[in-house]
Amino acid sequence: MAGDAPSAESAQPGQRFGAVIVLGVAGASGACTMAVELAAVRLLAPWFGTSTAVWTNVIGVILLALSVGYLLGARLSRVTSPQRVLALVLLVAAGLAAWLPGVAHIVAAWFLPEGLTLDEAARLLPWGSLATALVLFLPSTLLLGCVAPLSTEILQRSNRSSAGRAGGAVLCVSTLGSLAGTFGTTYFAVPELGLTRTFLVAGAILFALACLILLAPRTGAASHPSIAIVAALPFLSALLLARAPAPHAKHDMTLLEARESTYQSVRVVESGSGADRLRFLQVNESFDSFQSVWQERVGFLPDGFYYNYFAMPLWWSRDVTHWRVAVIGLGAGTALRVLDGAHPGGTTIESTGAEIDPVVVELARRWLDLGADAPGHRVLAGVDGRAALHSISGQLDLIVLDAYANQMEIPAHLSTREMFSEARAKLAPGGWLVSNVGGFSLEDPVVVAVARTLAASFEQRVIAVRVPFSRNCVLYARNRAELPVPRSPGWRVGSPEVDRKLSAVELSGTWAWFEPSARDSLTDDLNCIEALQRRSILAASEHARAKDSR
Amino acid sequence: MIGAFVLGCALHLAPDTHSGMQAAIDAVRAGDFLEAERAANGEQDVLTRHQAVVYVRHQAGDLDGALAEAESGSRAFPDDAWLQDRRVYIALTLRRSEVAEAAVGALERLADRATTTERDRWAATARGYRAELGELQRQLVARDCAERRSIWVTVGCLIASTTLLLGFARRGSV
Repeated sequence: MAGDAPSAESAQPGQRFGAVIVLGVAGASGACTMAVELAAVRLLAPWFGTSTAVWTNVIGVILLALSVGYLLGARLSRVTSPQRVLALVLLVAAGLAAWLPGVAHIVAAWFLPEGLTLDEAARLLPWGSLATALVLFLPSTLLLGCVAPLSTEILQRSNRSSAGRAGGAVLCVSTLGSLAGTFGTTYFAVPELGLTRTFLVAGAILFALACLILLAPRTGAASHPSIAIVAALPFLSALLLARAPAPHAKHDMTLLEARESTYQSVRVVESGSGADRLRFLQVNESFDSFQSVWQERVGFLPDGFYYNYFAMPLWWSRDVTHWRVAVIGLGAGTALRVLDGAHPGGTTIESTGAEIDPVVVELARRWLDLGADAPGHRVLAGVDGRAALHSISGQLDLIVLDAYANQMEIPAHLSTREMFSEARAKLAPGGWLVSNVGGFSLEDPVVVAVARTLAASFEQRVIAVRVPFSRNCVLYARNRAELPVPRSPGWRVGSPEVDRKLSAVELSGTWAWFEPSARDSLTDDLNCIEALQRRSILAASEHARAKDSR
Repeated sequence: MIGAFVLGCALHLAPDTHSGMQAAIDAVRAGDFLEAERAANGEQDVLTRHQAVVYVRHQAGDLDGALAEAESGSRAFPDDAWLQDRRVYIALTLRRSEVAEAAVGALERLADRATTTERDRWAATARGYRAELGELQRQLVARDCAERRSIWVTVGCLIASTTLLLGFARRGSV
């Protein structure tokens, strides 16, 4: 009957198929599957970012699709000519993969409307990214899941081998292909080719594999060319038409440059004109947020930028005239530009900045006046912040911690007791650690957790101030020395410009002390910062709703 | 906007009255928000005290505090157009659509009852706020729709996938 698998003993000559070819198909399909999976997260990044939740959703969708595809492939493998089915599966998968960059923005827009702020969109990110991933990636990955069982069937029939032997060989090669696809996508395809070409190349490989099967002699796979031609149309049309929209700036800004890095999409945008010009370095979806900001002159930024409060220790400790500063999470160097222009007279600064994304540093040097490496001003590009801290020799007077991933996530390993203890060990007596923490209030779960952890590491209370006109808090900790107290002598410094900023955070409700609490500390072993960040968003919207309804 | 607001606030005052408000304005101009808050809280007239605290908090960048004071003041003095105006402005800045809606409505009602010159000014102001509020509400409704759409699509895809899995399994694919 049609659909019944012929026994190994009765395999027709037309069904013989080179083991090398079918294993090659399995390996290349494995590579393309991983390419689609890894590039998928980057494809969603302009809307949903690359947070852990987005990664989890994409990986979950891929695994679900593969599992369904495996069973579908097993079902399809019972036909007389599994080679033909495999070729058709690859043709359709090629088209679906190649079209992904061209349709991603349309699908994403269904689940994430424009104009929302970061905190408003935060609720949408988990569900929206899951729905988008299901619509975009389920079909193509499901088909790619069919490749393994079909390849196994073909191999078993043509070589008359056992199911275990054929299956093991296919799985081995497929997994090796996935390995190649993993490294190739991350370190070559996405940074060098860009996302559109990565998907087109994956589609082209699948298309070529399908052609190889169809054109291979005595397979019988080419007996219905019309079906193959129809199945090939999606890929061929994608070559001509499927393009992701060009990067663009939002909110009446001008795009200066956009790049894809290993970590994220990065762009520099500009607003305003003349002396009021501001440039922002944004990553991924950004919404109303930014990673770094630049203005023409060094020194304090306009109100609303938390970087201004990084400079306060230089005024509070004016007995220190030469400052050794480390900036963890340098970005484009905004913190250093503020420090360089907003310090007391007679102060010199020697700095080391660590930024994990080299593309950020490259764009910063081109557009945001981040200087080249020079004695006294080092930039460690491509280095994790904690590793950078280890590498700095000698004692520091000020550590600025401003490291964020995915727009609003503090990296877990940079928010623990161990991290803060390591930082404290680098500080001279009386040295400062200043940290930016995004939070909606001083009761924000993230602010509270990080502040208490910092206090526990420094073994004394820390002070948090709510930055005016912003969603940020700045924490101050000091190594074996007293912190200045709001509304007390020593808080203000005698400079009108600085005192204006300091007095704004002396109002009730704009500052708070946090005592050491070992019980509530975040550690390398147990760190719920991601859950706290989700709770922060939820708490903020519920708090606003509760206030609105009164 | 804030500069114009400061000037409007200052010009609104008669000299030697509302000394707490005047002292608050002077302190803000001098960059001393703590002193400004003390002066505002020392204002004798209750309505002016509310206005002064809103002004100081707003200038200092504590928008939540300013809005809370504007809400409190509006409850006590619902016919004060200035407080309603600040309530809308800050609520829109914070994207609190329900507060902004209530405040715009109050401002519109006050504009209707006002004298000719005041009416035109507040009506025009309310119209501007109404347009801005409409855009904010549209974005929030779109967000809520997108969230519901996401959940339904996800549930649908999961049901379809599960059905396929069970179907293939039952038909002896394994």
